[in-house]
Amino acid sequence: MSGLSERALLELVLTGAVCGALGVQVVLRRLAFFTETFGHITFLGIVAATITGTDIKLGAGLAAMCAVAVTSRHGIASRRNHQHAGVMVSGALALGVVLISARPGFSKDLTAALVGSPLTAGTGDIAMATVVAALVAGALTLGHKELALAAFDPGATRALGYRTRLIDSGLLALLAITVMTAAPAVGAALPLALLIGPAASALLWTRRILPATLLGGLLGAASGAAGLAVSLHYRVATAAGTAVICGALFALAAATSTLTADQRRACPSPAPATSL
Amino acid sequence: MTAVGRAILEAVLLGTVGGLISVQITLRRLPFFTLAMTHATFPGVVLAAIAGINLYAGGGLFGVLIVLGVLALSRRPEQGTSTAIGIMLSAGFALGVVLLSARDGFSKDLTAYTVGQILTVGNSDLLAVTVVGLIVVGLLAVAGRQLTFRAFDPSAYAAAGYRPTAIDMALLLTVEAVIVVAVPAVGAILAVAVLVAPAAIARLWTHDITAMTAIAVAAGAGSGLTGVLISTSYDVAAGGAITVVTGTLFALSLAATTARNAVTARRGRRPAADPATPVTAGPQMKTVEETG
Repeated sequence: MSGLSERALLELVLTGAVCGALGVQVVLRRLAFFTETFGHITFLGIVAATITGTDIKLGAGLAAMCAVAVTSRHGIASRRNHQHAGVMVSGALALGVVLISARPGFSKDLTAALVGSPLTAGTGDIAMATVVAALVAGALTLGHKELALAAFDPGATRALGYRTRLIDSGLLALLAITVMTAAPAVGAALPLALLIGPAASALLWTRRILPATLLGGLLGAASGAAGLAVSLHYRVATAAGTAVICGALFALAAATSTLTADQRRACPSPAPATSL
Repeated sequence: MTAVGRAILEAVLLGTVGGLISVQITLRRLPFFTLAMTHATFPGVVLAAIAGINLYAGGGLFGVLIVLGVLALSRRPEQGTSTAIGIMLSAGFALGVVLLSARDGFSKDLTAYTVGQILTVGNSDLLAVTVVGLIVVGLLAVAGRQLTFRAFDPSAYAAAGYRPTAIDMALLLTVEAVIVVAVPAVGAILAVAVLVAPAAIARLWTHDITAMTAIAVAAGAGSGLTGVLISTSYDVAAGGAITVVTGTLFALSLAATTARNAVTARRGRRPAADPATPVTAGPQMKTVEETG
């Protein structure tokens, strides 16, 4: 194995693990559509960074932070504002496409911004992914109780004296940092697959949050490794291969879930986080 | 006709058809579902291109499978529909990328499918949009009242003896037909703008469904025309330009209506169309709605 694919393996496994673990929160809060909005706005940031020649993580991070700020103020993820979010999603994406298409040879840049290029991951990207992995692991461990409470019963969380807005913003910031770190490897269009595929599969096999988080992280890391192996063997796009494996994983989980329909119905279903 | 003439015609036709169907999509709160369908139609179109069969036939076949899959998933209430749609969306898009990347010249092909190639449309593409447009007009003419009834009061609709599954299926298949003709022109990741944004703009100005449809059609056709003109004069991607025009129109409408509502609220009158309140008495699609 060359140094190139070793770095790609490390980057994909780290990204997969972080996304898988944090994804459990995304699935519990039903934030799939919101995450997609996020990814598309990040795309605009990546394009701006590509054009100005700065680090794409910087562009992605700035765009993601703006998205968090707008979201926590105006509640874009609430059901009411779905069309607004839909327009924002495609508007940000289209602006990125227009900007990038003004440059010669834009196909290659567009491809890298959309679906990432894990094979060009440098040591800086890997160091960053490691730091974020530690950060997410720490936050999920320390805030385990609060996050679970806020996901299932926002009213009770407020009544107990917690500040739900703070918890929600913290979760959104974690999500932004994760999407930013994942950007060089999996681009703007694919983090959603890594965030919800392994996590939703884990939640189909167990309904307890801690085991689901560990299992989600493990499945995410495994998807990353398997995606790289498939891509090297069949010579197809690496990050997209990883995302397809995440989707296949969910199909497998849905088919083999040991929880019966009755058990699943009996489990407390988390309230959609309309306050976000 | 020149390539630019055909592109303008295609963009205007697509904007009109998209404007018509977007009102139904908005009433049923299906934007996320539409986004997922556009992404999931993408591998079908790629497969058709690789196999050398008609793009519309390939995309359409794949799309019908997806619609059936979504209807089947939505019959299981214990499953989070938004998670399932999200996975379908990203994994479907990724599958398309994987299939494409197995071929040479991958970056250029991916660009064509994700952001569209409206300047290369031929007479057969124009014919396809026209046929789909007639289907949409037909559906709205025959079942328009039923669709509105179903959107606003699902239980009364079922109690009145109609079959909700049949009308849902008809609506979703029509949406899929519009997506299939929109994807080659404006691309898989931008098609959602054609199918959602016109009604989102119209919704800001009025609550009346007929007026909303008229504004949506005008907004869709107008953005198509302006977008292609901008694209040809400034040499940028056409699909992107159309969507940016639609987005700008939305932002301007949002600003204008917010200012108008602030003025009327200060005068103590009830605002005409406050974007923060639901359109109406809560239109919803119980089966495939997303729970943000």
